[in-house]
Amino acid sequence: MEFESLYRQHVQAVFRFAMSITRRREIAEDLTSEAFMALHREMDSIDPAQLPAWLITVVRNRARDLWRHQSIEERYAVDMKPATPPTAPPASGLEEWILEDAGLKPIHRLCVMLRYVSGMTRTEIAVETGISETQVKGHLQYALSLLRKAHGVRQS
Amino acid sequence: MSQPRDWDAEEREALDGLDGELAEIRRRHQDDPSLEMLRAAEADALPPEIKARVTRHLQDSAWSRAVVDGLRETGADDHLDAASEDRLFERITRKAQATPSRAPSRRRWSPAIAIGGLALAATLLIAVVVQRSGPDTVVPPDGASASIGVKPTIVDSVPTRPDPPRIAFAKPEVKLSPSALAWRGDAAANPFVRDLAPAIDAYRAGDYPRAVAAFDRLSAVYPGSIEVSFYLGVSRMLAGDDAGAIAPLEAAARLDNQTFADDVAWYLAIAQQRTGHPNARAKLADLCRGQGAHASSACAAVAQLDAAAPVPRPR
Repeated sequence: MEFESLYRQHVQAVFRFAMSITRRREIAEDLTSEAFMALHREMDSIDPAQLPAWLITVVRNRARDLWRHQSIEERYAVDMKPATPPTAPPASGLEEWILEDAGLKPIHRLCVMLRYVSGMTRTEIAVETGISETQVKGHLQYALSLLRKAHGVRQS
Repeated sequence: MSQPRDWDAEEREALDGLDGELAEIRRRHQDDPSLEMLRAAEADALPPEIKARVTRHLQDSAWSRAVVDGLRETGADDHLDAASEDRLFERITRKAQATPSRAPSRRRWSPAIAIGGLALAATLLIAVVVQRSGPDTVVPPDGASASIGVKPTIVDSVPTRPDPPRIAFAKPEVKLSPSALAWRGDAAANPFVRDLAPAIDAYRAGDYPRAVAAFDRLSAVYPGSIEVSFYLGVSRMLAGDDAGAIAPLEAAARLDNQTFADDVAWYLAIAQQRTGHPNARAKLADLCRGQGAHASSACAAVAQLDAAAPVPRPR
């Protein structure tokens, strides 16, 4: 099979996987490009039935390489603390509500966490999640409507 | 980073009186793994030593698990538009043409033989050189080889293993077991079919990482579903994780569903062969001797394995 045909067939899946790792389009394009460069070099040896798994693993390996070279790795490896330090106070009512309210879907929770705990703008959340700012706003409004009810109950 | 002052009136009103609790939540989670790290862990794109730490953290932290759950619902619309797809293709082909091949071909050596006229000695020398510098036998990647000896360039990150060969397989079409089909009469009210749909859609679209994440979640809810176990295993294989495919395929085998029995045995044998399972060849040979849908493919696979590593004849 021709290289271009394989590229057209698999590039979206490879790019989507790269985006799921990095959320930065330029880096995702670099990773995708490197995977197909590797395919181009190895065209004679690759059975098309091995794709796109082969390409995805090239992207995964390259991402691992990048992590290995990031200083954050060392800092994280050394400084990572237990998830719940023994001395930490128990989770607050608000944290329990965020984690356990049955009305919240995972995407609502994530938007709430990023907006009100991580302090991101709606634009930053849209970039991080790949959803539109309008959707982010909608998710937050829905979550806040549930919070108002829950908070009202807690206060009363 | 936003501050409370960039909240709109609705946000300020809803969060009024919760400043202290929010500050406490921020303090509790200030040392959590970053979003980037959780995302990479979810895609199995972290070096093993870091992934192990993140995995341990996730076991203890409901907060970070909730972040990962949310991340799984993102990115569905990620794509390259037509112009970007063309631009990337041009970039790849331009670079590829500018980069000399790693491996000189035999054809390139033949004029040297003719011109040099070095007869037997030169031929032998060239044969040795070609053999040593020839292209690696490239095999489809797998998690085990991916995590070992990763080197700084992408060329060297391509997993290679000269022997044994890895058996290729075709992506199985989506099918449902009779029990699931029976439910389809009232699909709208059937939670299983409804829950299964996003995973199947991702699988059909070739978005295997997303399919793996979706089937993985379903496996906790529907541990007795043959569809979930089987397509989780196959999706992992298609995503390059042969080792990770074995457990769900073994679970699918234990369910002993006749609709899927042939397929489960075939894909499990392939996953095991690719991960060096000592009985993989024997399982393929069993399939070859049987009357199942994959018998001929299994025979071809056994022949391929035997050609690469001939079985010693008993003396």
